[in-house]
Amino acid sequence: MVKVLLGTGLLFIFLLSQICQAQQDYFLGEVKVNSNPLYTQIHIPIPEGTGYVVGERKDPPQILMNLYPIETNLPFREIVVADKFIQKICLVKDSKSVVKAIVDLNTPEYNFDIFSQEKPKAVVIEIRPPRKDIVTALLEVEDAVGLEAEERSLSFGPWQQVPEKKEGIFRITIDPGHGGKDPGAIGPSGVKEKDITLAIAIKLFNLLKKNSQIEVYLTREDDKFIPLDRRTEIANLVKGDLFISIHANAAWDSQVRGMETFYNSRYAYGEGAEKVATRENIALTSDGLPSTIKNIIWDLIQNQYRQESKELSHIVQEKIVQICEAPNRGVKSAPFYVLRGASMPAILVEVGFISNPWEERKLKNPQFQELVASGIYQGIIAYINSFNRKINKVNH
Amino acid sequence: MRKKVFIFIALLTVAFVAGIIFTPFLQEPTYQLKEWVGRTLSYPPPTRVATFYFATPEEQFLVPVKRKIPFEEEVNNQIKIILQELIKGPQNTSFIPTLPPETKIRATYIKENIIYADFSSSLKKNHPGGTSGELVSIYSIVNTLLENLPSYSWVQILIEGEPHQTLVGHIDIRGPFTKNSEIIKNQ
Repeated sequence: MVKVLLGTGLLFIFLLSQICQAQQDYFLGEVKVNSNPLYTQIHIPIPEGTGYVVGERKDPPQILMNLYPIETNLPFREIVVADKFIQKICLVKDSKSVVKAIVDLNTPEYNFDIFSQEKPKAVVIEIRPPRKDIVTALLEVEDAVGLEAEERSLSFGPWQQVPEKKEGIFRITIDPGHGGKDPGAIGPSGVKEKDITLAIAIKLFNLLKKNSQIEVYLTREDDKFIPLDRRTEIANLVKGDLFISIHANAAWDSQVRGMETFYNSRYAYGEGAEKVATRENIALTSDGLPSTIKNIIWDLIQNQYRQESKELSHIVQEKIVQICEAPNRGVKSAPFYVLRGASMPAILVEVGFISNPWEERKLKNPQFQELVASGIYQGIIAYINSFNRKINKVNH
Repeated sequence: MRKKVFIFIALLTVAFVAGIIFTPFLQEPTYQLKEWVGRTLSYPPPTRVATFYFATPEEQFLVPVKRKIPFEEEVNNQIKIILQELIKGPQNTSFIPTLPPETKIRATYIKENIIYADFSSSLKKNHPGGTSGELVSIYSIVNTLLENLPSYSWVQILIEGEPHQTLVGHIDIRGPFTKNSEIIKNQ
């Protein structure tokens, strides 16, 4: 009898512990707040499978988060923080399996990020001071630490005193590929890519200058070596709207010919890298930025211009092929070093194969160069017109 | 007594010298036997089929070409053999080679799922230049390695032991690449 009782008792306790365990698994954990002069982090431990929705309220400033499915013992919990950013956090049992988290903020001026954490599973709300957009911040860093004295000496030129841009003006940076100690590809009769790209770029510069709607800059005006990073940096410094890099192509086989236009493709990083980048941008202005993070951020910046770069590529490609009557190799995307630093739509035009004796001869001819320049010019104009049409549609 | 010791030592010396002289003759038959056994029992060297990516005549795409190559159990040796075959270029003249024939493989190694392929400077120096030429070079290396070593997913190109910004001035090769399927054109 005693044995049976003991047995049942043990079984009961065992089952109870199991139930408690299961319940525990579905419960909201202990909320932790991590106050820091630069930011405040709220860790909300959540069970596996719990999702969340986030909202913001302006007056009073609040961050609202709904967690589902989740259970809580207390119908109402209040955590007073009273730090630089947060006044208090309220956890309210809203309805069955729904918990509402309300973060009362001390200031309407803030910026926040939400990310999930593994082991232990938690959702983290990070609140920090408002900041300029990521591009401005990155440019500031580049300006402060990125330029060595030697590189600075290269930066003389018209972009040193860039006037404020007027309404409705398009600023275009033309980048003649290669230059100086870097000749680029060399044709069978010795024509150098750097000379062809400069000649076409100057012709395009002159065409664009005549248009009152456009302001135009060149990354180099003569046979000068400019590091690849510096080229997009110049375009960013002048706050350009478009970046056009002009190159002459080369192939393994001398019969290959035609024109093609490229834009930057997405970079393939490990999973989650972008998330890290967004989270790490908090450190952007403070200390030196790890180069990997910097690369990912540049990638994110180009991401937002990818669609526009693609459109511009197609329009320019169509026009140059039509005007120069050249074989059409189409538009492609690839991970370009030259284009990746641009915070604007950016394309690279391959105006013909210098490795093909026939095209090499044509590229050397100033009349053909003029034709190529006018093709790119018409492409740019067509793009600007379609861009303005879209803007007007939005405004009216 | 002294005489006996002397004879004993002399005998020992003679036996020692004779031993040295006759050893090769004594070993000869066994050595021959071993060689004979080895010859009849050895298998042909192991081979495997590998896929190589070469450029189409317009150099816009890469085409897969299958070829038999020596099999190496050690992965770095296998990578070296694959890259050497890739440098040799296609036998079919309607496809275009993608790397300078002078290119040497300096080393290969694997770290954290990335295959590092270190080439001699001729990959850069003897390259025709141009975005199109550069793209087929990079992706023929990357796609060929990842196709034949499917347990890895990244390839980092090094030149003279160092990562470079670009090969000939356009494409960013500072970091590792994954396989590019868009550039592949199946025949």
